[in-house]
Amino acid sequence: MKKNNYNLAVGRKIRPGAFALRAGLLLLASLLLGGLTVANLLRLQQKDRVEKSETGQRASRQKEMDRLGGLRQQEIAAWKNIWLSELTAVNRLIERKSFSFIARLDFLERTFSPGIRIRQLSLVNDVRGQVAMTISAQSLQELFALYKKLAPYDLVISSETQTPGDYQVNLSFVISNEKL
Amino acid sequence: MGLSAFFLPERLPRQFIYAGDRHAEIVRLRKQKIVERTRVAGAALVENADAAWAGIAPGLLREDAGIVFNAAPFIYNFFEFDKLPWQKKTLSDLVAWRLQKIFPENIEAYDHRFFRLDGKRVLSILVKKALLEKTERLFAEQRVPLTYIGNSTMEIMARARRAKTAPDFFLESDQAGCTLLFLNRRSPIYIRKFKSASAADTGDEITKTVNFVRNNYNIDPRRYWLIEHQDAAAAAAMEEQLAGADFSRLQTGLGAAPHLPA
Repeated sequence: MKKNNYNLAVGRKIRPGAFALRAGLLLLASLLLGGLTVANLLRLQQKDRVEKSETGQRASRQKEMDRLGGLRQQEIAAWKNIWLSELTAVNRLIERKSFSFIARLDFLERTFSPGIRIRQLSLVNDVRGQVAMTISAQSLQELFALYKKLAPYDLVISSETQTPGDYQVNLSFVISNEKL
Repeated sequence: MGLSAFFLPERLPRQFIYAGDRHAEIVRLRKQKIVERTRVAGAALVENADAAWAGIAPGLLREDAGIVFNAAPFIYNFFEFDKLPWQKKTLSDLVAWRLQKIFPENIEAYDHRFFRLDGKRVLSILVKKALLEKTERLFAEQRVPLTYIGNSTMEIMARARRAKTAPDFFLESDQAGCTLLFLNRRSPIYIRKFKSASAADTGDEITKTVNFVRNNYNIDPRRYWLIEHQDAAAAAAMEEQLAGADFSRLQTGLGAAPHLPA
């Protein structure tokens, strides 16, 4: 139970022994608390230092990796440029190499039947391989048989002229390298 | 007990003066036991300090002393609030405001202290500053260090609250006046000071007061402490009279001076 201290004297005195004991206990408790605080601070500081050094290491490692990454990017870009120019050159060479007049003439020989004559032939040396020609056929059946064979090759019939016993046609079609 | 009281424990003097209505008593203590007590008859320190001091001063030793006044110069009030603030300053302002509402005199002339009793109530005590200043001056003139000025009712109340078997009320009787303080669950609830011409009148007043408390506070006060400042015969007569009204006296178990701090 709380004691109500009722002393109105101006010159109150303190019990030195009891005061010293309480002050000592307070001091001891303060020291203990202070010690604990310092110990905790030191522990935290140590932890902080370790974390800082780890972070520093990681940062320098990251920096090194970034530097290497940059170098690699530069290398890749340089390689890419080189490869692109090489690739273009190779493609050009391939294109040049792949166009064959012989193969196209061979195709015409195999496709055209004996009743059909080629009167005029134009072959263009490019990737598309367009072929334009003027032909004459002895019969309509032979002509139609030819149309049927050339239908998959984007056949375009420019004109057809019929005279007795002869059919003359201007046509064009495309023989790409892949279809040969 | 506050922090300051815990860390700065007071050293109590070993000689006390009890300032009664019409007498004073010099009491010397050793190891909390009374080793000497000298009654100075007719020394009314409150009413006529200079004359009373002439009788008291020669009996004092040049060592720390304390004085304990009886209830006569003090004014007690119980204040009840809905809720007491925890902040000391706010509480102090609140109690001062309540006191100003009921106290007709100039409060500045009084020393005012108050004690928090529970979450809602405080006990306020007023005493004239002039009395304290006069007392300090008398002791200073005699070159006796005065380290304690107390109040017998507060001392008895503090002991009653801590007693193993707490009384329902205590009665402090002196030649001219009587103080009754009622406790409920060890907490003071009602206090009354009165003067009476005879012992019979005192008994009647006590019975009336007990009935008032019984009706208003819903308690049935039976057991009491009696602190009689006159003599053993007066105490026995009072006890006998109160026994007739069905009150039973409890022994304080505190020797002959429960009104002195120890």
